[in-house]
Amino acid sequence: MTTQTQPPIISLRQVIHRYPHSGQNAALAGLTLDIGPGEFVAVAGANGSGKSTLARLLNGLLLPAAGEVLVDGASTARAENLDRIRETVGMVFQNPDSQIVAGSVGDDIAFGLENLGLPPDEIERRLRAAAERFGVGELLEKEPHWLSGGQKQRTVLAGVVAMAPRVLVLDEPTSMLDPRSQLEFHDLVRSLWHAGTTVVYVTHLMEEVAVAPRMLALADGALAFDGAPRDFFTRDDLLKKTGLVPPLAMRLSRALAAAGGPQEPALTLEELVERVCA
Amino acid sequence: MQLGNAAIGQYLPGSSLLHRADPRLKITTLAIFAVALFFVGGIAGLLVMGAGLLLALALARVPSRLIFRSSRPVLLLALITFCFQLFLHGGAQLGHLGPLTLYRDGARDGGFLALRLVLLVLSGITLSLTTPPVMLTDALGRLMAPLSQVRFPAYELALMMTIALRFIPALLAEADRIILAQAARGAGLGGGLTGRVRALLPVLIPLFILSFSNADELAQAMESRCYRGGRGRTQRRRLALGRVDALFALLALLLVGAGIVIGRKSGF
Ligand SMILES: Nc1ncnc2c1ncn2[C@@H]1O[C@H](COP(=O)(O)OP(=O)(O)OP(=O)(O)O)[C@@H](O)[C@H]1O
Ligand SMILES: [Mg+2]
Repeated sequence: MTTQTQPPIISLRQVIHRYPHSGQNAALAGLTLDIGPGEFVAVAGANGSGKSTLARLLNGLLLPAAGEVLVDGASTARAENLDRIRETVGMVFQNPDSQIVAGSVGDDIAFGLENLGLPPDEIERRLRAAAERFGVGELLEKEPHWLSGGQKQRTVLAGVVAMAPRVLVLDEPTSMLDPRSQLEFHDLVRSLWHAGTTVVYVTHLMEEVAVAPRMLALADGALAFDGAPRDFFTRDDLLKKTGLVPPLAMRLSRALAAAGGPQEPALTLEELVERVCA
Repeated sequence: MQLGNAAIGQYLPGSSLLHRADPRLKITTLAIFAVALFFVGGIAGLLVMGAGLLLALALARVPSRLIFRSSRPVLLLALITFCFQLFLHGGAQLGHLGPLTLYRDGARDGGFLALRLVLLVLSGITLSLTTPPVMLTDALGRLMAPLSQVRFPAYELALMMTIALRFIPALLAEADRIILAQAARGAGLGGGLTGRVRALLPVLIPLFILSFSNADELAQAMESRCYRGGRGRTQRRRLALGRVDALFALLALLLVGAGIVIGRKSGF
C-alpha cells in the first residue's frame, strides 16, 4: 500500500550510526529508505542487526553519525525540530515497566498530554477515549504494579496514541506478553493502521511480519530486503543472510510441497488451509 | 521475606471531609498543626488537639487497628521518653517502684513530651492515610511551584518523587524475586548481623543495576512522549479551592486555636 504520490513521512538518506566505544563497527551502515503516510512496515532481523537502533533514529532519540533522517521533511539533527518530530512520531518500547512514569493508569496516559500543554478538559477527554479504546478504561485509578503485562503495554499504547501521533514506531512491543496478549496487541496496532496511522513495527514474530504489506529485513546494520514478505520468505539466500526463519505456515507448506502436496507456498495458516483443502 | 507486600503509601480510599479537602490545603494544615504543637503550653491543649485528630480519623472511617499499627514505632519512642522523664526528672517524689524513684514533675513533663511526639507523627499518618500518594507529590509540586522563579527545580523534584513512588513496589517485588532466585541456588539468609548483610549484598547489587538500566529506558520513553521539563506543561487535575476546603480550613483553625488557648488557660 505504498502511496508513492504523497511525499514520504519518514525518509532515511545514507544513514550511518555508530555507538560510542564500539570501535569501527557501525550499528547501521548506510540505510536509505522512504516510508509513506499510511504504510504498515514490519522490521525484522536477527539479534544485534540494528532494529532498535533504526527505531530510535526515527524520533531523534539517536542521531545519525552521517546521512540524515527526515520526519515530515524535517531533519532530526536540528534540535529545534525535535519537539515537532516527537509529536509526529510516537514510540512504544519492549518493556512496559520502564515506560510507565506515573502512579496510576490515568495519570500515566495523561503524562504525554500534559507535556503537550493541553488544557485539563482536553486531557481528560482524550485520555478517557484512549483508555476505552485500548481496554483500560476501567483501570484508570489502578497503580501500575497492580496490572498484568498485557494491561501495562496497553496502557503504554493508550498514552502514546492519546497524543495523536501520525506515525507509531513499536520496538518489539509484544515480546514480554503471553501469546494471547500478543495477538490482542498486534490486532490493536493493526486497527490503528486501518484508521490511518503510519506504523513501523519491529518484531521477532514472523507471523506478525507475514501479514504486513511491507517488510524491511536487516542484516548486520544493512538493509537486506525491502518489499513484500511473500517475496522475502520464499528466498533461501535472503533467509540465510538475515538468519530469519519463515513463519510456521510457510514451513509446513514447504514440507507438504516436498511430500507431493500443493506446490504454491502459503504465508499464513489461512492460506495453508485454503491450499490444502482446495 | 515478602518485601513486595510491604504497604507503601498506606492510603485508604474514602469520601470524608478529610479525604475530599484539597491536598495542598492538607499539607499546609499539617505544617501549621505541627508547628502549633510547639506553641501549646499544657497537656490539656494537646489532649484537645489529639481528640480532634482522632475524631477526624474516626469520621474518615479509618480503622483504629490501622492507626495503631502505623503509630506503633512512635508509641514505643514515646514510652521511652515518658519513662526517662518519670524516673530521672528530680524534684518532688511521687513514690517508689522497686529501686526506682518516680518524680511528680517527671510524670507531667514526660506525659507532655510523649503526647506531643505522638501527635506530631499521628498528624502525618492522618495525611498519608487519607491522601493518595500521587496527589501528595502532585500537591507538593504545586506548593513549591513559586520557587521555580528562583530556579529551584520544583516540578522536577515532584516528578522525581512520583517516579520513585511508582517504582518502589516494582523494585521490592524485584528484590523478592532475586532473593528467591538466590535461595534456589543455595544462598542462605545466614544468621547474625554480618551474615544478613552478606546475604543482602548480592540482592542489592543486581537491584541497583536493574534500576539503572530501567532509568535509561524510562528517560527515553519520557523524551519520546515530549517531556521537556516543567516548561509549557499543563496538569490533568485542576485543583480549585471550594466550600469543602473552606470548611476544612475553618475546623482545622478552630482545633489549633482551641489547643493553644486551652493549653495556656489550664496551665497544666
Ligand atoms: N548502547 C549501545 N552501546 C554500544 N553498542 C550498542 C548499543 N546498543 C546496541 N549496540 C550494538 O549495536 C548493534 C545493533 O543493536 P540493536 O540494539 O539495534 O539490535 P537489534 O536488532 O535491536 O537487536 P535485538 O533483536 O537483540 O533487539 C549491536 O551490535 C549492538 O551490540
Ligand atoms: Mg532491539
